[in-house]
Amino acid sequence: MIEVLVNDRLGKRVRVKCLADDSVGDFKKVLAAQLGMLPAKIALQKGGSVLKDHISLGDYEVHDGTNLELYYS
Amino acid sequence: MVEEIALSLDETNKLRVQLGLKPIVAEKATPQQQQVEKPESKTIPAETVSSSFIDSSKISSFRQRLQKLSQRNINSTGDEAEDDEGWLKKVGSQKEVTPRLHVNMTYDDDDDDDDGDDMPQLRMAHNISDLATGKDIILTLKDNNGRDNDKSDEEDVLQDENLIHFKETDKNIRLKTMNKNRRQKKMKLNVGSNDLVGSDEDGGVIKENSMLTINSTIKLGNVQNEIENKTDNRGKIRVNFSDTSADDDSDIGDFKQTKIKRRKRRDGNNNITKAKTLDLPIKIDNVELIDEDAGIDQDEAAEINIRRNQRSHSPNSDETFDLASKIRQEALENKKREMDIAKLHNTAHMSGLIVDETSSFLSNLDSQLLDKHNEYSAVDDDIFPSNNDQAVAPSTEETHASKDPEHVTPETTISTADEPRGSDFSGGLASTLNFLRERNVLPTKSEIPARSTDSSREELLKLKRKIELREIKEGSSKASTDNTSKRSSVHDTQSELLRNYNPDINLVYRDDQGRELTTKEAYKKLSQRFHGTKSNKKKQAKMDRRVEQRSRKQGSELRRDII
Repeated sequence: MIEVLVNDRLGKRVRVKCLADDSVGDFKKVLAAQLGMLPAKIALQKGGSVLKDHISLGDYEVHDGTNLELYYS
Repeated sequence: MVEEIALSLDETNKLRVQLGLKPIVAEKATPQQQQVEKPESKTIPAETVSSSFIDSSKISSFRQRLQKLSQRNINSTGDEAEDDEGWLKKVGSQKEVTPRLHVNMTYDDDDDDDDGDDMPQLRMAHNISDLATGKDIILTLKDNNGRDNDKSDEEDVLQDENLIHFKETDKNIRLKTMNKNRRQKKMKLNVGSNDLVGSDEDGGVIKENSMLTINSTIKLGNVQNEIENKTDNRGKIRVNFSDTSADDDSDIGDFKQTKIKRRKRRDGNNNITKAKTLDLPIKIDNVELIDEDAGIDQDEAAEINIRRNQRSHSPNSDETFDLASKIRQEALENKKREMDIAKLHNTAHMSGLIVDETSSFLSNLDSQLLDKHNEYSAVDDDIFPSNNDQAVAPSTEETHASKDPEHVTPETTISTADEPRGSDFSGGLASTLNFLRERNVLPTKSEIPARSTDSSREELLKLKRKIELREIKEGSSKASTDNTSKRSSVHDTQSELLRNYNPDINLVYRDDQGRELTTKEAYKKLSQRFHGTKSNKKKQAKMDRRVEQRSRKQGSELRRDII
């Protein structure tokens, strides 16, 4: 299990528990459920690069305690 | 203020199950995770935390590890000065490893408690001094695949693979350098293969020193000295550099110097010939140049030449009789051919000269034309046959190059003088042409225009013939008018079929509403229908407008025309 920090820099900061094998799409679903919004409206970035839904967090080198940028589209 | 949202593991698991994801299995918390989750666990009571995260056994294991690590650090830094100066001194220098070798081998047997004397002894393939490098060494049993069958009693031998590898490379390099030296300096190395094998064996020989008793410590300080004493004479390759030439043949090593053989020249009789050497005299004498022809006049020289030629061609006396008979025969033949010659002459004038390269034709020409020339020369004389006989005889004699010097008559000499050159057709076409020119057989320039007029006449005749042929054809065409009636019936049927045929077709394209379209527009519609595409509404509206305008214009024009 890893815990990822997601910050939208607009006043929300979310800690999401997940697995490294989870895809970004799954992660978005969990995140959207925590935020109370649609997963399709979420865009995640790590170091300026947009994360694609079909790729796993592990492939993006998202580890425990990694900060992700959250954008709303 | 930053709003931080966090869900517990159970809640996230529920959520994940609802979303159709696999739940997160709770792991045993690592110290890092403990640290991470500390702020979160503020709300949770302390008792639960202690029960869930702190495991006494784990803690004890961690403490043990930490102790070990700290001991290691102390050991490693214990001998060294921790000051900067000591550290700096240490940077450049290598570590001096104390020559101590501990060989700890454990066996599963129950004899562990016995003394070292009873322990099994193993032989080693290397000197202990070689092994003392201050590093961990892995010793493996030597592979005795081939030897097991021969010597079943052979003991197990321990060897270090790395050391063996190093030794092999060392040996290879040494051999390479030896070989290089041999090539460059072309010197013979008196090192036989036996010596090399011996040297290998020296390395591989098992020594008394290299006996290992299991579970025993070896102090290398003493052992090394002993090894040095004993191995003074070992491990050296016996290399003999003998200066005496007598030993060279007997003691030549494996590296023989290549000898390049020189090729030997051979005659037809397979005799080897040595390279020719010119024996030049020490002094070269002056050679006096004598002009042998200086005293002789040109006329005399010419006579001499003629005589020489005559001598060279002088036949026997029997041949002369044969020649005479031949001459007579030829004369008779010539008489018979006279008529033919006359005809030939006429034809030559009429239709140009026919020059053939065949030998028979040339021979005919030779004799006949010569005769003719003689005829011309003797026009004044009325007696033709006698003259002919006289003329033929010298000519034939001339052809045979007056082989008999005694036969040479004054007449022949005269004839040779008259005739500029002998009739020799061996030179080919050029010689024949020359000959003919001399005999005035070829037409002169004055005759050529006359011929050209003849050719013009021929052309005129050809034209006339053509005209006649045409006239004949026209006559025949008139006769064929009857056939045309049949053809006309066919033509009528064709015309009936092609009644509606109009070569000036004007294609008009119309759309669904019956409006006229240009070819471009029509093509666009057609292609759109084929591909199942449509232009957008704007474009369609634009096109409709354009078509309507055009149709209006056309309508107004028509009205004007009607009015």
